[in-house]
Amino acid sequence: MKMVEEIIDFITGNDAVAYAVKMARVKVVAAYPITPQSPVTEKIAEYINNGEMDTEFIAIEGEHSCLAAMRGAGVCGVRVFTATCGPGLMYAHENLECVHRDRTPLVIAVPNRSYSSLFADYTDSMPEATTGFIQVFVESPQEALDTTLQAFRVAEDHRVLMPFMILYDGYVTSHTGATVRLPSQEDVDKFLPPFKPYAVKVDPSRSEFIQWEAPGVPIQEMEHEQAMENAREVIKLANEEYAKIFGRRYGDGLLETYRVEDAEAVLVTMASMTGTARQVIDMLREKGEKIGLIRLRTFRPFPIKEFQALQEKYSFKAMGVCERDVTHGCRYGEVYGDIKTSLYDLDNRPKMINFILGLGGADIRIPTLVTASEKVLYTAKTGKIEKESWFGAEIGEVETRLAAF
Amino acid sequence: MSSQTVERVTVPPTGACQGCAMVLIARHALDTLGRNSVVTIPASCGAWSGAMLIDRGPTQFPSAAAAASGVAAGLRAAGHKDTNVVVIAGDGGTYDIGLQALSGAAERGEKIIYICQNNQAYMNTGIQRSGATPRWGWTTTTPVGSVIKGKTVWPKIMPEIMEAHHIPLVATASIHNIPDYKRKIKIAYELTTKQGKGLSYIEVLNTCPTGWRYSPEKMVAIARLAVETGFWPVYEVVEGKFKLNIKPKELKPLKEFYQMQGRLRHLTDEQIAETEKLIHSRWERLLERDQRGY
Ligand SMILES: Cc1ncc(C[n+]2csc(CCOP(=O)(O)OP(=O)(O)O)c2C)c(N)n1
Ligand code: SF4
Ligand SMILES: [Mg+2]
Repeated sequence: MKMVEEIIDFITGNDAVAYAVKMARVKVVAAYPITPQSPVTEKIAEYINNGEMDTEFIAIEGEHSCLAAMRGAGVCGVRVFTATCGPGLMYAHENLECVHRDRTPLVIAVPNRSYSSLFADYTDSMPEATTGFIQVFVESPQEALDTTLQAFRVAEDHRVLMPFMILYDGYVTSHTGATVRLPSQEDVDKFLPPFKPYAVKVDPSRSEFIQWEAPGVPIQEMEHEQAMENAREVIKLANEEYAKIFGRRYGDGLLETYRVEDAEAVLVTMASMTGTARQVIDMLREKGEKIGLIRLRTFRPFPIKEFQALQEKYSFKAMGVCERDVTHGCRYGEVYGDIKTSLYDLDNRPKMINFILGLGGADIRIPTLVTASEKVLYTAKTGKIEKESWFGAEIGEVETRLAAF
Repeated sequence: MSSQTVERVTVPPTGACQGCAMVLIARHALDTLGRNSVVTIPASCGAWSGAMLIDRGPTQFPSAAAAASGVAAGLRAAGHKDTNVVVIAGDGGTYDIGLQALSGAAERGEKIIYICQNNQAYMNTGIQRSGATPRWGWTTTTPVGSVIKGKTVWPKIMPEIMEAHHIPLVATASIHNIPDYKRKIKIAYELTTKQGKGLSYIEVLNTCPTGWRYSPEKMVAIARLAVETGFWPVYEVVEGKFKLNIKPKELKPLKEFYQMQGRLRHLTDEQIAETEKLIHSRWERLLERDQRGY
């Protein structure tokens, strides 16, 4: 497919998301300000007021209401979008929980923000891991743009019809400028056709009244699980289709690997920490260490089979899972738990170590990731585990960003 | 709302208690507005108002007005014009937990017809007190104990809070005068749906026999007495113009009204007198406004 030349600009992750929302021809946006999300909706408001977007914008009075409004608009069968994070996401929880029950393919951008500071960790979005949202963690402003476009396509697919959360690190990705390729409207329209709802629940122009019948909750939940299973494949497809038009792909859409061939040890990373981690892998490879990296892109649905396939293929001896969240009382993060569960039944499962890093937005720096890698390499070589989980503070993480404002 | 012929959109039977006024409030609003309507009913006794031949908007308890704002925007985006976007919420969902969403929607000028059925407590969850429960009134969370007897503070005056939002219509109504109520629904249709001037707020006293502790056949008599004692003034503020719609020459003694209900029967004469004083001073104010016309 011939592509219209992309404009290259230097913009932030938030602006990249807003641009994608404009290109996606979203019909209703509701939003409430919160740092570091606000620039997304400010940009959208600007597009609308400059006549560049034909969109209903509800400048609503809180995030709980915001998600309620998104539900209300969603059942009318139009494309809907919102963005929030941190305390806003938590405040919206009651209505977030309902979006998947409506089967509304809402897309929501979340520049992750800790519940303890203004900066990135995943303590805001992890409580939503059980609400039926597709959750994709992206690494860069470019990927945020690309994934926003893919998000509508995936969420609106009739095999899926589940809401979609795009997650990127607050400030690190949301506010940092990067070179971003901006696709043309013509190409975006090719990739993302207008929204075709499966069923419009609220339509006053129908001549006959329809009594909607929903199955009981146990069956609904089972259907939603099936939809999430389908989403795994649809995300992969969208990733491929996107690559065909725009030439950019992110692993298989679920996982992205880096130098895993012949690796005995492997780090699992998410979002922006991955850039630093790649550098660390390169450094250690240069020293002859057999270490690689897996970036977890899609967290919900969880790439269970894909993790298993990688393990079967490469027989990693040890795996170190780095994540910005912790389940207190378990001393591990959600991702570590999910990977361990996924690999448990394999005969050649790896030894696993959890690194709970960057809480409250603390920087995840090279020395910390080197120490983490060394621990994983030690386990790969000796089969011994010193400790199953480490907090960043225990392995030299510098507390760089204690937000006092 | 099409022509004069009223096509029923509400369908009996309902799941409400015998003699429930909420059923009348929902029925006459929706039957008057007709098929080109979408209604959002948050958790409340309204959930028992029976089947309806119109689409329902989804909402959680605290966010009815916000959810309806979304429906209104969604309908516009989908190309529907002139559809009534209606909310029917309880006093709990209006005065208390839903106040933020309602205030926001009113301030934004949302084209919503918001009807509050005020039964002065959280009935659906078992008669707990709300911001609308009368002072000294009994509820399950303001029991008449040996030390503290009933609710210790005054209720809010919600219609006046809504007036402060500069919306096209604020009105109260009573189920003993259905024509007056329906007329107000039609004003709401005209100003909100047709002319797009913003949110219309209509609050109806829902004389709930179950929660108020009286026998259901007295429902209309109780509603009338609420108005005739000044306990529930029936008025309208249409685009800033004030009118007291029902003006008894002299207000009946409040005691007559209170004694008919188990929830208010325990009040002392002093407590009734203090309540009456407040009611009468408000009545004076309303009469003055009626004369001034704003
Ligand atoms: C967030 C939340 N909190 C509490 C409830 C429980 N709840 C459901 S209905 C209700 C009371 C409703 O009272 P009101 O709005 O006055 O309506 P009524 O039942 O009196 O008609 C409550 C407290 C809920 N559904 N959601
Ligand atoms: S409790 Fe009151 S308002 Fe609720 S259904 Fe019964 S009578 Fe009606
Ligand atoms: Mg009530």
